[in-house]
Amino acid sequence: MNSLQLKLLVSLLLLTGLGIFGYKAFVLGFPLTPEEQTRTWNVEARVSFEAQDSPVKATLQTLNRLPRFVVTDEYFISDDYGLLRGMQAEDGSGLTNDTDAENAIAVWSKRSAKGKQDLFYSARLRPENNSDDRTWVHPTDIPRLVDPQFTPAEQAAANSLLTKVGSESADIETFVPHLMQLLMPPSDNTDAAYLLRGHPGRLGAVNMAVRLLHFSGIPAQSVHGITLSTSNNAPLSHWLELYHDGAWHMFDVTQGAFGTPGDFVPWWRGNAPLASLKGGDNLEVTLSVAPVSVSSLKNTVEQLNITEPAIMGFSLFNLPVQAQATYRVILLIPIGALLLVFLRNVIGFSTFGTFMPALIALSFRETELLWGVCLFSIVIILGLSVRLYLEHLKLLLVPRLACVLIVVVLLMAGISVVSFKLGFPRGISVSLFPMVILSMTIERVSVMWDEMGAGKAIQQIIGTMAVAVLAYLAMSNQYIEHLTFVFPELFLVLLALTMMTGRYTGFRLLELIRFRALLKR
Amino acid sequence: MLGWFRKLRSLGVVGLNSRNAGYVLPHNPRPLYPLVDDKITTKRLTESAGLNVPELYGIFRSQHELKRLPELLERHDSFVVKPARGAGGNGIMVITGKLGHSFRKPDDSLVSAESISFHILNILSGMYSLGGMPDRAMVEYCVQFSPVFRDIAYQGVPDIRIIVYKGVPVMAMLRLPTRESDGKANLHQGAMGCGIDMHTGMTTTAVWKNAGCDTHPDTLNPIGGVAIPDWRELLKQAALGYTVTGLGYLGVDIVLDKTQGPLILELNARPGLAIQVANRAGLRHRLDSVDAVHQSLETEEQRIDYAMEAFAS
Repeated sequence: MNSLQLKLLVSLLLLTGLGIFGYKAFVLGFPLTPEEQTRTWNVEARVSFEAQDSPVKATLQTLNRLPRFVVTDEYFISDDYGLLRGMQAEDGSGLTNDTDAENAIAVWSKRSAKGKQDLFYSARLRPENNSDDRTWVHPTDIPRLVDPQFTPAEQAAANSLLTKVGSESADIETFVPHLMQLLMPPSDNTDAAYLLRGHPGRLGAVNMAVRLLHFSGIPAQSVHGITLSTSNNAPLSHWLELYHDGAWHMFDVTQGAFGTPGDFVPWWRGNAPLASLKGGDNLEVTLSVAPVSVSSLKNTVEQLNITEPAIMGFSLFNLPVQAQATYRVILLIPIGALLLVFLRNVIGFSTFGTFMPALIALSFRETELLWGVCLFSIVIILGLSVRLYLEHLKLLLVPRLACVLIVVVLLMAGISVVSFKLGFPRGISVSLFPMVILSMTIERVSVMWDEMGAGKAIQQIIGTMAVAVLAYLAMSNQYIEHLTFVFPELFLVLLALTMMTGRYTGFRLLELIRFRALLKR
Repeated sequence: MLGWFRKLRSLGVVGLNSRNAGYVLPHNPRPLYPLVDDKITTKRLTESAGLNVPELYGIFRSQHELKRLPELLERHDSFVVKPARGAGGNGIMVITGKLGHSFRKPDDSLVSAESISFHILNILSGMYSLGGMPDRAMVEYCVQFSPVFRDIAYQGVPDIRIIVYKGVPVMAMLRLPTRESDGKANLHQGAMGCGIDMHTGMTTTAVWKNAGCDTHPDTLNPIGGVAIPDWRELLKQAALGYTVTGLGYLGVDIVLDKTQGPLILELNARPGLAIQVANRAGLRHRLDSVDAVHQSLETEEQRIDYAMEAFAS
């Protein structure tokens, strides 16, 4: 019965702990290792123009739902302009509430302005950790075809061009590259040259391709965006996006090939301009891009704060920073305890006190290992000699313990002063915590010294130190620290493991030595 | 290494984890511990049940009671001072005789009355008790150990440890102090452990420092074949330990006194496992056979008969 209860409890704990852990690690995307860095990007658009002392209205396309990225920390910086944000259809016609519209715009307006004006839009792009899940996809309804509004002459040219391309290609994968090849300036095809008159540059070619594709019955739109690389004046690049076989396909105009762009960030879609202006001159938009490295943990936490605030409401990250720092240490104690359980019950180490090594390891964290071991050895040796001397004075136990404590404090203060004078700054890194532990250790050692002899006592000190060093190594491991703090649910697993060790009735490793006389037969 | 584990298991050796989980935890209910953890309670309990224990000369409960000490020292030439709640033989001071104003310890060193008084104070403040709790000190009869072991004991007092499981003595060991163990009877500290045949009460095998050994390292006399007098009475005293305390898994420490015969020194609710090494046999098979029959054994006599029959080597 008891055993069944234990098994059920252990499996429940394991399932819950590992389940939450798996959900957080693989669905929510918490990083498993501490120093995973994610590159996030700061993107900024600067809109500048000359105002003409009249009502001003400036419109800028802003970043919207992007595949593989989350847009956070959006700022609109403008002195005293009114700001309006809304959605806009691909053809650039006005503000709409239609959430299917793919472009988000910002509209700055002011009754009267004069002289040079600068408006800023900046945003941070965070890569999504789990691309399958939340990546934004296009609306799935089949897009409608738009009349390209060709003049009869243009229609003839388009027909001839499309016939030529159609005869030289086999399917859509070859049709589009061929078409773009003919449209890309400088074009030596006369039909193409006629169609592109008055629409210079790559943008003109892309827009014409969209019209031609609509003309031949393939829904398409242009996509304008930037490439993520550090730049103060990032050039806009234009891609073609067409709907075919029930899905959207991106076509890289510069490469002349289909493909999903890697570091290309779509800014807006359709034939609306990046920015438009009423009541001003010399409109100029400069885009700049700069990478920022943040830890992926911070990235995930901030991203979840935006997307799923409910989950983050019940997490350690919600605590004040100082409490978080304390918990980073406190959460390590169970690790030391489990290690101790293992070393004592499975290996068979014997140590001073049950959890003394874990406490010593904790104080090593404050002093660092090598210095901690030196400090402990020095103070224990000196403290022990004082304690043995006090024995001669026949003091009672509690006053003697107090004497040892006072001497330990003095010793540590002395060591700090001397080592600081000698230029070892580590010497002053001791704090309240190790002091008490040291006095307790000295008292225990000296009692054992009296009772069991020096050899046994030294053996125990070395054993305790060894376990403490092992515990320190486990407790100062940054992976373990990261895992315990980010995934506190792993303590349920720890609890289950400890319970399982609690039922381990086999031999301890060191009992092999203890019973070796029996093995010899 | 797994092979070694397997061999230990097939020998029936009981390890610490298995002792705790399989015998101590289920058969020794925690509320019974005070009966054996506090030697004064144990003494009262065993005395009233007709067991032989060393005579208690005095108890010191607090500092001001120490003024009774000189009078007590006056009356007795040899005695033992021990903490009521000490563990593992810690804090025991043995005085074997007087020399003017000083007292002699077994190793012939001298201590003053103040030292004894200071030792008692240390005991009272809890220096040797479990968990450092304030304690009481007891002064009792110092065992004049029987000449039986004269040839194979060096200083100190040899004692006999018997494991009693559900009232049945299952294994016994004679612990002999050596020069190396400094008069102490703890195997870890270099004392010698000898197995005892449960049927005859004769010493059989011996281990010293974890190796088989035929002669005592200090006296060089052979260890085996020494008969312990009154063996059946000894087993009966041990079995009574169960009747008195109700602890299912019990270690009984008995010394043989020159004049008073077997005296129970201590009862132990979690006895060590070195007894298996001394006997070169595992406990498990014996414990299993007791489990199988203990229902039908009603009196101490029956249990002892069973033990002597079943566990003869």
